[in-house]
Amino acid sequence: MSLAQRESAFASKSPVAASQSGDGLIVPLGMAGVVLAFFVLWFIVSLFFGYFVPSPLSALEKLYAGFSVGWIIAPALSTARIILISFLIALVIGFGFGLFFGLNKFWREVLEPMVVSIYVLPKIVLFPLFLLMFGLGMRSLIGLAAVSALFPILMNVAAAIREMNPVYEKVGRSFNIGMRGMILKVYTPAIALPLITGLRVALSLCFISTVLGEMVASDMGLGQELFRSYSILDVPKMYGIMLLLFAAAFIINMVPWVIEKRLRNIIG
Amino acid sequence: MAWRHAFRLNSIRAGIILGVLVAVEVLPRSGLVSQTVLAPSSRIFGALWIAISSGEVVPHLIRTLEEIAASLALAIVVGIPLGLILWRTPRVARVLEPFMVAMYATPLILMYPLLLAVLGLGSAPVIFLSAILGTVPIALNTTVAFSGIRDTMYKLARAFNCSRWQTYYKVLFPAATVLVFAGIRMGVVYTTIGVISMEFIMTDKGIGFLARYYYTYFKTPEMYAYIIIVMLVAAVVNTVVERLERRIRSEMA
Repeated sequence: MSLAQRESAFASKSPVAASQSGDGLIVPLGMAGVVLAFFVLWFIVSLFFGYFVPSPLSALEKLYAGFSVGWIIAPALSTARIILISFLIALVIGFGFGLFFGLNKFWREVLEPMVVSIYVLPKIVLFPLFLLMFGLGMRSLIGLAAVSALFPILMNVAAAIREMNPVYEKVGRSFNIGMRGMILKVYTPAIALPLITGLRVALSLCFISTVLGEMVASDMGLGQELFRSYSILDVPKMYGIMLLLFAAAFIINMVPWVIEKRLRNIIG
Repeated sequence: MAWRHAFRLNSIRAGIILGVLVAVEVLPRSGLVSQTVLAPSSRIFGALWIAISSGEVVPHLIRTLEEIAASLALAIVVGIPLGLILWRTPRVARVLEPFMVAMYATPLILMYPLLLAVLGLGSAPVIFLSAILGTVPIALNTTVAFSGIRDTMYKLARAFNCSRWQTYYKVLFPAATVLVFAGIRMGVVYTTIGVISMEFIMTDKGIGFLARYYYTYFKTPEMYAYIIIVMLVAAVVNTVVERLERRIRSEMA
C-alpha cells in the first residue's frame, strides 16, 4: 500500500536533527521554557482581548475547581472509558486486518483502493450513521473513534508486514510453530516499530474523535462539557477544559513517542 | 498478461461493490434495517442524481474547494519558511520537536467554536484553523527534507563556487523538493480533513455542511448521497496530489 508505506516511513523518520549527547538538560529545560512562554503570551493576549481570551489564571482556577468540586470528574472518566474501549476495538480489528492484508497479496491488491478511499474520508462524516444506529450514547462515540483509529493501525501493520525480512517467516515456519506462534513470536516483534507508531497515531485519533464527537452530539463527556460551557458563554471554563484536553493529548502522544524513540535506538 | 490480471482484480472489485449495493438495497426495503438508518441504494442514487443534476451541490462544492485551496496556500506560505527556520537552528528544532509532533495529536479543532465567536460564521474560521492544521506537517517535512540533504550536495556547490543564493536555488531546493512535496501532500490531507470536519460541525455552506444538514432533518437518502460526494471529493483530491507527487518524485529523485 504505497500511501501507507510512505505515511509509515514518514512517521518513523526522525523529524529533526538527532539528539546529541551534548544536549544534556537543554531539551527538557527548553521545553519547560516553551510552556512558560506560552502561558506568558496567553496572559499578555488576555490583557487585550479580555472577552475572548480570559486570563490563564481564571482558566486554571476553573479547572482546579473542576477537580476539587468534582464537576469535571464524571465527564473525564466517561471520555476516558470511551477512548479506551474504542482503542481496543481499533487495535484488534486494525491489527487483524493489517496482518491479513500484509500476508495476503491478492486481497490486498483487490481491496486497496477501497480501503484508501475510506482512509482519506474525514470519519466525522460517518458519525451520523452511528448516531442513527445507536442513538446519542456511548456506543456511537465508540463506533466513530474505533473506525477513525483502526486505519492507521491497519495501514502501518500491512505495510510493515510487506517490508518484513522474508527470512523471519521462513525461520518461523521451519520451527512449525503454527499461526498463533507466528503471530506472537515472529510477526509482532518484526513489525514492532511501525506498530507502535500506528498505535500512537491511533490513540491520538481515538482521543480527538471521541472529544469531537462528544462536542457534536452526545449527552456526556468532556467534549459535551466543553460545548455546554461554550453555549452558556463561560469562557474561562471553556479554556480550562481545553487546557486539560491539550495537556492530556500531549501526554497520550508523548508516552508512546518516547517508547518509540528508545525502541528505534535499540532496533535501529 | 498484465491486463488479464487487472481485469480479474477489477471484476472482483466490481463484484464486491455490486454485492454491497444489493445488500444496501435489500436490507432497508425488507425491513431488517430501518429506513431511517440505511436508505435503499436506489433512493440514495436518486438523491445523488437530483443533487448533481439540479446543481444544488455546485455552490457548496465550490465553497469547500475554495476553503481547502485557501488553507493549503496559507499552510504552504507559513509552513515552508517555518521549516527552513527550524532547519537552520537545530537546537531550537530539538526543543520544539516534541511539541510539533504532539500537534498531530492535539485536538486543535476544539478551538473551532471559539474561532467562530471571534471570526464569525463563514469561511474565515475554517480557513484559519485548517491552515494551522496543514502548517504542521509541511513545516516538519520541510525540516526533514533539508536536514536530509547529502553532504555531497554542499561539496558540489562549493566546488562550483556557488554564491549563497545559488547554493539555495540551484542545489538545496531541488534536492529537498521531493520530501517537501511529501509534506505538502500531508498538508493537503490534513487541510481537507479539517475543512470538511469543520463544515460538518458548524458552518453555513459546503458539502460537509450539507451532509450534516440532511442528517439533522432525517433525510437519510440525501445524507448518504452527500457522504458519498464527500468521499469522492476526498478521494479525488488525494489522487490528484498523489499523482503529482509521483511525477515530481520520478523527475527529481
